[in-house]
Amino acid sequence: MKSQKLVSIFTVILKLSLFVNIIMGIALITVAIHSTFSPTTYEKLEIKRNSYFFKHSCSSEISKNQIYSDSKSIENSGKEIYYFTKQDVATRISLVFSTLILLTFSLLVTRELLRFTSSLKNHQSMFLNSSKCFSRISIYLGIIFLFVFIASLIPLEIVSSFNEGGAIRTVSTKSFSFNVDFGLIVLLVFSLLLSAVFKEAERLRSENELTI
Amino acid sequence: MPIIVNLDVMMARRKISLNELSEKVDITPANLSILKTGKAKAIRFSTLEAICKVLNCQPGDILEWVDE
Repeated sequence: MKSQKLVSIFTVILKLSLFVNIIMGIALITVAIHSTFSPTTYEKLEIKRNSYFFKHSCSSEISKNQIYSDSKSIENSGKEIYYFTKQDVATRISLVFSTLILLTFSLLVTRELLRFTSSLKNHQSMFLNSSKCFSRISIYLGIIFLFVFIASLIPLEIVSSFNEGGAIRTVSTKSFSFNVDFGLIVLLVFSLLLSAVFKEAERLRSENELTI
Repeated sequence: MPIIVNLDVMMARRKISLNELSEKVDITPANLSILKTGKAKAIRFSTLEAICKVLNCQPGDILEWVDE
């Protein structure tokens, strides 16, 4: 009974997460399209430095081209802000597109986890279905990992704004770095392991069924 | 498979049907059929003992090993 309750709670959380994913995707597309026609509405919309696309969990900046010669004084003056509408079109499209791809694959992973929880009810095919679910999850995580890594290699022009004595100055920089997310690798390996475990469990179950 | 189950031979010798044997051994006719057709992966000693008791034979009369 306890385990059934846990599975039910887990299913509810996954369904909520799926719903949030879809809402985020729709909101992102709406903001991206609306900001093109009405940029003043999103003047203050910031891209956070620690958002997934900008996260550098293990990165090394290989080269940085700074356009303004007094950029060092600008960097030291205040908080660096990245306004969405101040980025150029290519950067905005890259940001929106990559976030949508990541949302899509995280939606697929959530969907597979939901399939896994529903397969727990059917004891006959539980192990086989679970093995397939986790191997699909590992594929999706692999795609996310490759995408994040490849996308991080593409140099982006980022416009940063600094508050210097009440005036806003903008600096355009091109940065090149690579991003290797070890958390994703761990999850990928864990999914592959679970898939192998369930496959072996299925083999043992069918052998046990054929034990007279 | 190297282990051959000669259950059908013993059943014919003792003139006992599958349903009758399954009732006396207390396993389902489906499982007995799996054993008879050689699809079983393993057999418990308790099942083998019950079959030998009903058919009045040795385990070697039912199970045979052949080199593949």
